Amino acid sequence: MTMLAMDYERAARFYARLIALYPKSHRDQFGPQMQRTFEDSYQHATSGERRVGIGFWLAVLWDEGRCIVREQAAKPEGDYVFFGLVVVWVCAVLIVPTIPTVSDWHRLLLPATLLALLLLIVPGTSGLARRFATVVVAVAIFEWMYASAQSIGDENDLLAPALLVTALAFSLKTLAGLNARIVGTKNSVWGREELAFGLLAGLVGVVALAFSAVYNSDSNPIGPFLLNLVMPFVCGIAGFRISRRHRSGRSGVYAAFSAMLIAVTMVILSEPLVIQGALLTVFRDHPVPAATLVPYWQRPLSNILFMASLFGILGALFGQAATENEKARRIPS
Amino acid sequence: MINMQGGRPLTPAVFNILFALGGGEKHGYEIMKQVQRDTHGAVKMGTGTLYGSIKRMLAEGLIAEAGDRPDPALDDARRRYYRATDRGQRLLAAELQRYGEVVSIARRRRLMRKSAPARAT
Repeated sequence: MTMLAMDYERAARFYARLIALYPKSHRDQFGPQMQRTFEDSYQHATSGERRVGIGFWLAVLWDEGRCIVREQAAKPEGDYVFFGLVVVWVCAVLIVPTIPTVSDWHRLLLPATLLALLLLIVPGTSGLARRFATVVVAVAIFEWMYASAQSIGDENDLLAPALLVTALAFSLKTLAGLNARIVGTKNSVWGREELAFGLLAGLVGVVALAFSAVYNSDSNPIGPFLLNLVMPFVCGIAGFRISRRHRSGRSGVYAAFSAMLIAVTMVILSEPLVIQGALLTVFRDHPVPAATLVPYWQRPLSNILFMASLFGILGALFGQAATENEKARRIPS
Repeated sequence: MINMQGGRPLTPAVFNILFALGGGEKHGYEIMKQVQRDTHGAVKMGTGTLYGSIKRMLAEGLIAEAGDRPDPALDDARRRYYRATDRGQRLLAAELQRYGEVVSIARRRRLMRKSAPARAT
């Protein structure tokens, strides 16, 4: 491959990344045309073995920067209102568990009602069904997160933010997916592969949980091995596959994180059932060892999040690198 | 926002695109080159500006995607050809007429310099 052909490939890739910053509707309608027009401009600028100068790129960046901001700002107002409210809700969720006077979940009734009213009456383009569904999901997750945060012991200070961030990200994605489904747009928030790998990783996590509940980790390391390595690895595979399919490392990282969110949420939700079930099954005729009664939320959840993030990002990067290599082999020099 | 109501002037980008499409249907890069030629290189429209304007002009019914496409074997399938609609042509004609009136007023008031050189197209 010649130097100019490599420059061309690089320039086209860079411009494709700029296009990715436009709103989705604009990208879908004009993305391929814009890419083609840029390629024409680039070929014209480099005709006769010339190379483009800094002026060319500054002009491209200036023009695209202005237009991206303008197109983003031109989105329908209703979306802004909706996501503005979600931000309000996120702030409320982060603040409420830190208030010491809120020791009883019944006291959350007032803020939850106010939130529901706010979501229902605020002006915007959202329909009643969308608003109602948003209220139900928002309040349910609000309660769940509050309960989770309250359950965390003082000796595990790092777990509270980790748990809250996970729950928050999961609920935001769920709300966005629900929103897409209700307004009848294509629901690309939860991809099939993300869901499948997330469920698989979650299943691994649940099995690991059962092992950890029954066996001491010193005598049987299968539980920690599944939790700290296999589960994050499955999330990494999701990242690898998606980044290869979409030819984008960013999509891969998102997919890996989404799979991780599903998996961790499954583990968190199934914890009481799995631990109690495992203990009742194995120790039904014997006294239960005290050490195994440590609730899951007092175990190092941050380890799983960290490892899953690492595996996810690595998987996505490897996926993108593999795709780039394949592409480079296909392009004649 | 394009102001086409009440005889308000068109924005420069909209005017240039309509003017470029006056000679027949064109795809994005051809429009860019035509605008550059028509303005003697004074206006270099970026890709983002071009497609932002096209989007708004499509919504306002000033231009439309051309129905006939060249043979895909001869042309990139990603390209789309655009043409000015009747409404777009009417607005362009009205805008040109307005320009003409401005020029005649400027001449009457002797605001235009006679020594201004005519530029080659």
